[in-house]
Amino acid sequence: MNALMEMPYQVVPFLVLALPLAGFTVLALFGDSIKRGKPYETTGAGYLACGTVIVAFLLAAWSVRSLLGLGVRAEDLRFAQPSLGWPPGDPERWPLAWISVGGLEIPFALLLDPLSSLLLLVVTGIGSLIHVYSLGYMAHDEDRVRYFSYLNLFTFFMLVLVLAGNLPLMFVGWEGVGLCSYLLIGFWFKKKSASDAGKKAFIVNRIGDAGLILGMIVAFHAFGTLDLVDIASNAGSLTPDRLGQVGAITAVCLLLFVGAAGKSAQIPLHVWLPDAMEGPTPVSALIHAATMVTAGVYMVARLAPLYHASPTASVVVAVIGAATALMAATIAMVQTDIKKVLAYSTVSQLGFMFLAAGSGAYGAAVFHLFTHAFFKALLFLGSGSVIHAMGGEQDIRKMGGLLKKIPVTGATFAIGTAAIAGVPFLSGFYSKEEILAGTLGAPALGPLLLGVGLFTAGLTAFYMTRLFVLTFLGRFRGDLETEHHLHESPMSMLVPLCLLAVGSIVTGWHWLIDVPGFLQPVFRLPEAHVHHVGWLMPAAIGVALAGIAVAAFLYTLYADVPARLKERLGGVYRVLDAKYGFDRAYDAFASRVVVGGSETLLWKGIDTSVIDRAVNGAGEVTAAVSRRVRLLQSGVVRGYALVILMGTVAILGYLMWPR
Amino acid sequence: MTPPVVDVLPAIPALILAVTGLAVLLAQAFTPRGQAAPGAPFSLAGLLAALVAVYLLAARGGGDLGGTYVVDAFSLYFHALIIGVGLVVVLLSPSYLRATGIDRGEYYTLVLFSLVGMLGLVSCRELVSLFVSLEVMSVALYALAGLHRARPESQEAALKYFITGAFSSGFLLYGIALLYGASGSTSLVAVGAALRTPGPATAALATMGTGLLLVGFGFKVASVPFHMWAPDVYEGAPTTITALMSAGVKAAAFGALLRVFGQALPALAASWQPAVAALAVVTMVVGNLGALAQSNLKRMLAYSSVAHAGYLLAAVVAAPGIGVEAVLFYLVAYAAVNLGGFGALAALARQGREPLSLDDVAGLASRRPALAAALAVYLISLTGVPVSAGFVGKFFLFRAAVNAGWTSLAVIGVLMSVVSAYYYLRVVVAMYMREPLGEDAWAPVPPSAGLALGLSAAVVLALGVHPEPVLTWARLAARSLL
Repeated sequence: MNALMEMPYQVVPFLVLALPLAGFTVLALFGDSIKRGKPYETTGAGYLACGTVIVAFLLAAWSVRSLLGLGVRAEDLRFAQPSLGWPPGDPERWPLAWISVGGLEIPFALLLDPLSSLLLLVVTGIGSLIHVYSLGYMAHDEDRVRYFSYLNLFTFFMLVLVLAGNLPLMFVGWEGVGLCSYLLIGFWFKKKSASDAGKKAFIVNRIGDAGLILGMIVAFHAFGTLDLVDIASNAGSLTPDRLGQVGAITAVCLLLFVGAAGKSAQIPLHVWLPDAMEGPTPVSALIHAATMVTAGVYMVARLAPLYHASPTASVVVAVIGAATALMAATIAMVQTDIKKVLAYSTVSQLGFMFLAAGSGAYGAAVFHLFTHAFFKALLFLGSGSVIHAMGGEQDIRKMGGLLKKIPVTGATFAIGTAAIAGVPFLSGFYSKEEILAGTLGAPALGPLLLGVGLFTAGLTAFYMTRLFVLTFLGRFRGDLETEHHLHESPMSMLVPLCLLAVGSIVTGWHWLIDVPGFLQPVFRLPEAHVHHVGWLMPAAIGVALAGIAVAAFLYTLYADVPARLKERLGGVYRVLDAKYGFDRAYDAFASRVVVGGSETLLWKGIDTSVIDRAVNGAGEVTAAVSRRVRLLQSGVVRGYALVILMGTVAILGYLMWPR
Repeated sequence: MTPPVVDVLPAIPALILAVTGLAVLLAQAFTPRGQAAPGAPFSLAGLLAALVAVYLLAARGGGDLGGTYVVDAFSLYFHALIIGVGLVVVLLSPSYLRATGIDRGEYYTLVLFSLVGMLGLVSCRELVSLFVSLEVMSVALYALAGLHRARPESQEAALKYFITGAFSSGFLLYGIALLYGASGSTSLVAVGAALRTPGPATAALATMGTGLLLVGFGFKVASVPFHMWAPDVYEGAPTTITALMSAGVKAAAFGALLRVFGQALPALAASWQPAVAALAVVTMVVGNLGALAQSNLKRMLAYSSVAHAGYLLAAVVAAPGIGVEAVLFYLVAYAAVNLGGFGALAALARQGREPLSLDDVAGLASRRPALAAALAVYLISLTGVPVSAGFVGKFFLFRAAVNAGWTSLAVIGVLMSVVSAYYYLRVVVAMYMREPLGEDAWAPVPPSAGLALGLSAAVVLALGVHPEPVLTWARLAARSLL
């Protein structure tokens, strides 16, 4: 291919990155003066934020399309820091290494292949819609300049994550989106629950990050590289006589999966995502449904050959995924907050994606990631429109009959519900079918995983129908005041809803967009043997329709049955309502064992009382007295000297011990 | 025939600082009673001159003062770091001294003398002069810690630091004596050569000496179980001096530790490595869990400084290899962060008070946005989040440990960093997500302190985004030890 024609593609990925960053910089630097300025300046700030993401989307779409049109083997397109040298794309001339020392070369390298370009389009495309939606949703918030600056910064970091060519650079994006997520969850920080939720997200994600960092260190130790393509091809070329490496691969896979589980809310690190709903609703749609939370799935798919080489790690991923899907779906059945239902549904769908990835159906996992981005963004934005109409009310028990009052929101919500429930010919049906078929390819436990998947698919149809019925059908159950104010949202909110509704329908159509086929070359795996069992599709349709039918009957015709069930099955209900007790267990652990333990045992215990007592003797001065003797604490200084002496004895004892 | 010439050029940076210190003292003598001599401008001029001298020395390729005091790439690296620390501390000082009423000429003299001691500590290739340097540094710091004569905490800090410091110096000196007994020399190179072919009695003496040296250095770097002075002293000392201790003393002590263990004791590595590893583990664990329980910000940062000594020790275990460069790089990152952290507290001091609790910094982001942003940068770097120096530094520390076969150290280190996110984050949350309490009690950020804090934040971010130049330099420095 002509090098000259290749030039723009060298620059475009960097330009795509630079746009939201520039938007953030402008808004962050001039935010205060804009906020104090005239009203049109604030509006302009919103348009600026939208503009950068929309232009980034157009550029991305253009470059991806032209790349495909040129017949380039897209998997080989790796770019580094503005490589305007000549000839472009010559790795020798990549001018700026981020880190290059001691055998470790980490260039500022980007990677554009079918997988990352798909994610690139999702992030900028759905991101654009959500930016536009935010114009309407946040129109009355006085801090919306800050909001849009965070949103732009998030987009930038998400693109870094998706386009990164090596693990450390991906980790930069990974941490960056975490930071923005944390800032946006706590956006209304005057609400205590919001800032608590932000803190929780941050802390839980740090646990995941520990796995990721360790995974990187072990990966570098084992493979000598952190480049994503090199790691993948290293693992792909594994021959039986090098099976000694398999242990290392399993370790790397499991450590990285800890990171993925943190970011993508899998058991036992799922607890932060439902709380994250404290943030503004468009944020829930963008970050906590369509993009950031799928980063873990993206990473696992990105390292597909690595996971493929370790059946142990794959089975762990699949089982955790299936368990998460089932658990979250059961919790979603009893939630009464519209956003909490959707949050648990997201956790559950992410579980489906890991179920697919762990079973070796990486294409199905990313396919579902893709369709889920559309219908879940649609559902969240729809819920935002509902909350907007209800004047901030989120309790579905106080809703009902909204379809007539806000028909566009209602109709698009219905499409989203049908798509996630697995109604035939909508996108979710196709991707979920791929996942269920893929489970039979799992290294072990295939039939069990398929069973859990099918059952959970039925539950999904059930709780989504329940949500739709309680919100949009029947009689209105709120107060008159709210009913009087019910109104459809402005166009800036409805247009994104309609576009997403179209996406939720068509993105599964193979003849239009063949996502699994498009992705196949990326995974560098032998053509997967897809187990298309004849009875699977009817079964999938069957459970979906059964779930819908049961929920529809229970919540319309036999409205008293759910209450009676709740009474009869009080124990089960309480377990579900308490979300299986994860939060309580963690709180107890964190506050009592970690903080309390370090306070009483380490600080007060060892640092003060043990030493006081050891020195002063039990009878001489009690700990209580010594705390009162603040001035000069000579006893304690003696204590310090004693500890030094004990340490010395220990070290010398160790060193001089005859061996 | 030319007479033998002792080449004093290598000692020029230290001499400049010493002479500047004396000049400040003299200037104070000629200043009317009750007024302060212009110590800060004098010191700044002296430090900048010393920095130029370091640059010229580097251009000349270093030098050697009779085999005792060498200026190789390793000590040049530390010269630049220590003088940089001195510059930032001096920039932070004037406003803090005025706010706390301890603006006296001897402050700057003592700071400069302690810097002279640090320069010696990283440059001495001979154990007795190394010990003298250590004491030059320490004596100045004992006095500085107690400079707040009116405050009991400051007196307490000075006394505790002095007593425990003297105690541990005794161990160090005894260790030196034993090494001399084992090898018949105090020169690091000669000791190293002698220990390569030891007899049974020699080996026992040398091993015991090694253990005692470890205790002495462990005290200076605040490693558990020799750390107990650190929280009290960091809390009681004037905050600018705390910054100097946490950044400068730690760097100089690690420099000396690396030089002594790398040049004199590599033959005994098999026995001291597990001991250092054990120290690293307890230091990381106790430091982080101790920090978790603190409500006083200075004490929290003190325990955090203990914890970071643990991370650094984890790489010291891998010392003869890439561990050294990892430690060198991290010391720069760590110095910038600690100068910034303590400096931010010092910059806000007004009428003898400074922010010490979370309530004191609540809502700081709305009242001092730039300072809060800088403080957030330091805390994020301490946590080890990417695009900050702390992330790159920790990555190299733990990679060094893994490469040397001490994977468990890296695992504990990473897990403990996770714990640390909790207590660092609390401060950021208080600054950004809480409303300010009551009237604005803190001083407006003074320009010179603002410059110092800005510099520190810039270093943290620059090293996070483009660490390569410093990494390359650290590698050169590490090589010169071999």
